[in-house]
Amino acid sequence: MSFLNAILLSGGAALLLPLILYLLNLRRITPQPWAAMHLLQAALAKRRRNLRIEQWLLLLIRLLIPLLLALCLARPVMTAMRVFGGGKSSLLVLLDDSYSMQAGDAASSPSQRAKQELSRILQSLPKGSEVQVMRGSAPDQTLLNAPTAALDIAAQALQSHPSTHGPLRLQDALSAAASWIEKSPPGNRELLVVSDFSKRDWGNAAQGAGLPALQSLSKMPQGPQLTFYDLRPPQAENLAVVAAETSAQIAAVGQPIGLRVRVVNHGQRAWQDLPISFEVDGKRLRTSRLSLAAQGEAVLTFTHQFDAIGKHALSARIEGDSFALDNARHGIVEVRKPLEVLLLEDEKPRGSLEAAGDFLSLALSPHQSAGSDLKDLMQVTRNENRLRQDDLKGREVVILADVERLRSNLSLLEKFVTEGGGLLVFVGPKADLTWYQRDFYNRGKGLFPSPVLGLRRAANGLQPARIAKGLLSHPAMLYFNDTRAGRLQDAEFQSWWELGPAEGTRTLLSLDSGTPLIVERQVGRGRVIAVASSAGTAWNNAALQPFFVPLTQRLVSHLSSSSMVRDNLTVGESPRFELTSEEAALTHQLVLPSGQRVDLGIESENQRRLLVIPTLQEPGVMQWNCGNELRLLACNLDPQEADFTPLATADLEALAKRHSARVVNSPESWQQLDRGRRHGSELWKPLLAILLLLLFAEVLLQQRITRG
Amino acid sequence: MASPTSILNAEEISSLANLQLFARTVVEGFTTGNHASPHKGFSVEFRQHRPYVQGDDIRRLDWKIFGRADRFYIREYDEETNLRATVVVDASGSMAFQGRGGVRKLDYARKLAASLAYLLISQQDAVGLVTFDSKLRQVIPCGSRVTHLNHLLETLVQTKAGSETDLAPVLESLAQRLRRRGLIILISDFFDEADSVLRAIGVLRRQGHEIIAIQLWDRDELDFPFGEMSRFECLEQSHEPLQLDPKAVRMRYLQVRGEFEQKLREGLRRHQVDHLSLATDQPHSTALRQYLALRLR
Repeated sequence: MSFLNAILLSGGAALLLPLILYLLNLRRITPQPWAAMHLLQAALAKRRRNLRIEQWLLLLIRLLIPLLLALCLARPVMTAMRVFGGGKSSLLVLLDDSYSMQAGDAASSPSQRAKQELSRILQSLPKGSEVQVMRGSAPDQTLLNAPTAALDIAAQALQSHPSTHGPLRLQDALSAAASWIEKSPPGNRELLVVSDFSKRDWGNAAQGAGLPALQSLSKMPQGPQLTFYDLRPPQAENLAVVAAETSAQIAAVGQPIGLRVRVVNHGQRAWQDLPISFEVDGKRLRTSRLSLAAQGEAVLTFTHQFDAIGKHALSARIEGDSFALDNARHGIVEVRKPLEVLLLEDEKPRGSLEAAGDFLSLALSPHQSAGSDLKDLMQVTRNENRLRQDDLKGREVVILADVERLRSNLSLLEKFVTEGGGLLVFVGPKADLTWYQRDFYNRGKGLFPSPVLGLRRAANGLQPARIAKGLLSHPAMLYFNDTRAGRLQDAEFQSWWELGPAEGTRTLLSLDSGTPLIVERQVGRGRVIAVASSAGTAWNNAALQPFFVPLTQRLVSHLSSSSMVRDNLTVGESPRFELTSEEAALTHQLVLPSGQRVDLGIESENQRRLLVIPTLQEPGVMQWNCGNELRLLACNLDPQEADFTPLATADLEALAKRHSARVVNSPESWQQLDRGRRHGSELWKPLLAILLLLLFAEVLLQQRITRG
Repeated sequence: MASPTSILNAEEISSLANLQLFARTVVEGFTTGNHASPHKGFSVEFRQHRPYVQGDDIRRLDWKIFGRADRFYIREYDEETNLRATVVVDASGSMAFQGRGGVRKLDYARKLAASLAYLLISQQDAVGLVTFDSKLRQVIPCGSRVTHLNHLLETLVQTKAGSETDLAPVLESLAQRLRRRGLIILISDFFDEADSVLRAIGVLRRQGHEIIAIQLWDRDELDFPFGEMSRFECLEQSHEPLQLDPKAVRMRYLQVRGEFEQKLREGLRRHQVDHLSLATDQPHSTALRQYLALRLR
């Protein structure tokens, strides 16, 4: 037996009160001269013995009432069974090991607290309990190979778990936890979510967004007891570079490249003259200063012209903030020789902005079109609908701009793409839908990525279609997640082709009706991107929008890159890159930002060769040695992780209540909660019931004695 | 004849004066406006003739009838049928009880007896007085003079609460003393064995006495309002002290008391004895009103 509020047991001394009162009453007997003694004796004659018993019983009840009340308040818990391993449980610890867990001092950060306090919790579990620890930033990984009853091993694994800097994958982690719990032996299942409960990760759930995994757990028969272990730190000051985006992924030698940097102050302190430096390939080139209000943000743009072909790293770094990991952000730019683009169209170019080719030509080589001295990356050659072997020589990307049908050999274009070329197709009023569906798509065997289901127009009087909102994940589209690159939704589409789904085809953008607008498919070593509307103004006004130039440039740049490798990665992810057969034959090694070298393995999957990179743990620029070729990869923290603002206490409690969870914030409070759960209800409930019965009995007995 | 001043001390004389004044105030204040004046109705009017029997006073022979009918008849007048009332006051130890808010039952009884005596003598009735505890202590024969009233009052003033109540033998010896039939007004708490009391009262009734039993209660005896642990000490030394929690026995006591009173009332009713139950916190006029109500039935 133990007590959750043992100090309140002292209230049991109140049992002396009725005893003292009884003894005082005995001492304070009042002499009472009396005449009707024979009546009094007659009244006593029948009840004297019963009365004595009842009065002793009443005294006993009155002694027990304060004693039981003190016991109730002390909240006794029966723990005798624990000696025999009773109440053993299956405990899954879902450990939030995201970057924000390292907020504050190293010694008192939530991450450090989690390690220390979880070790104490594990050691206090009953014999026979099984434990597993699941990582919140990598839900597919656990600290232990299998659940273990050796609790000291689990505690050691926890202590040796290195700090990681990835984001909390909340939904994935909870789903994985639910799946694990379903497989765990039925009985006393417990899920302990250990987190700093940052607003960024839990805010939506606290506002009422669903956590399906937890909801399914609550419906599970013999579902787990859910506990939130609250490691919320006090509000920490933090500055972070949350974005560093290049104006182009690929640039030509001498072509100016912009790096747009966004710095956010997540703290309450205002900053003046904060130095921010611009680095290229690890060398500091320029330093600017900026001012940041509390909870404010600032955007700066650096420009640079590269004079050497190859991959280059661009970095922006602030100084002065003690929490250094999110103070820098990196990007990779490929500098190369001019990109040769062949633009095929049905009509001879006339130089005025009428045909689709006019807009595309202007967008891909704006400086050349404007007669400027500045260099363009892309050299566009416009050609009437005619394709010969020589036309493709030296070209990397071919664009079909509202071409009715290819009059020449289609197989030539297929060979070009299969061998690694890029094809960008814009349809339009002149395009022959039947040819595109029959010959160009050819039941998925042709180059066109999707089947064409028909021509669609915005109905008269109705709003034109617009590009659907949403987070864009394609490398060529990431730039447009920031509206400063132009609002995609400003474009209005009057007509478009409805494209159907096809195997291997990926949608880059959709219209708000749900139909795909831009789709992509890998064909051989090359890629094809099809746009379901026109490049000119015949079917839409996209060509008149600010985003049109960067969009077409990024699409063409993306097509020109033969590799599917993304070079901007996020801490916490475990990327897999598809390699060509030639690349797969080479040896691969990764040099981490810390200088550590990691040999990379290659896996086969569905006849594809995949380069497997272990989970990325530290931000910075990594070198990927691919045979003799040197490539660069940028690895950045999830910008959301830099915001350490915790949930409000009321929000956390509401969240816990909604999911039938309890909140604890120390090993002691966990142990108290766990004891109560493990042994069913605490004893205060039956004690309270007995207390109520005694109170009732006291009233009844008193009345019985009084009534005689 | 000794005057009151020769046998009473100053305090007792003062008490006597007070008692007399009290009785007069109560009676006259009570009778005024309630009934016809008690001074009216004293009459020497002829009531009836009856045949002469040996022993009758020959002065009461109606000679006119003897002259006409040659028979001896005695003339009877109303004044000859004056009430002979004996007030019997219990002066036992239990009558010394005085509750927390009341008066001693004996004091109440004395005042009540004085008032009744005054009332009766005022009506030219003859009043006697008997006091008793375990035995008869004072027996004053009936008389109707004002000086007799003083004697009664002196006796009442000097009456102190005595020893134990032993009502039944007292009533039996009283029955031997009271040869002439009359009214017996018995003022007591009747704290004795009910059956023996009733048996003794039966003897008195068989002798032709009319009896009014006035039972006195202190308010504490009626309500038993005690709260703290108490030791109940008997006023008559006939019982051992009882130490108890009064709250625990209150209901039972009230029940027993009610049963006792009910039993006494029933027994008295069987003997055609009027029963008045009075609390000592009631005004004496209430007692007189109830007494008269009984007399007028």
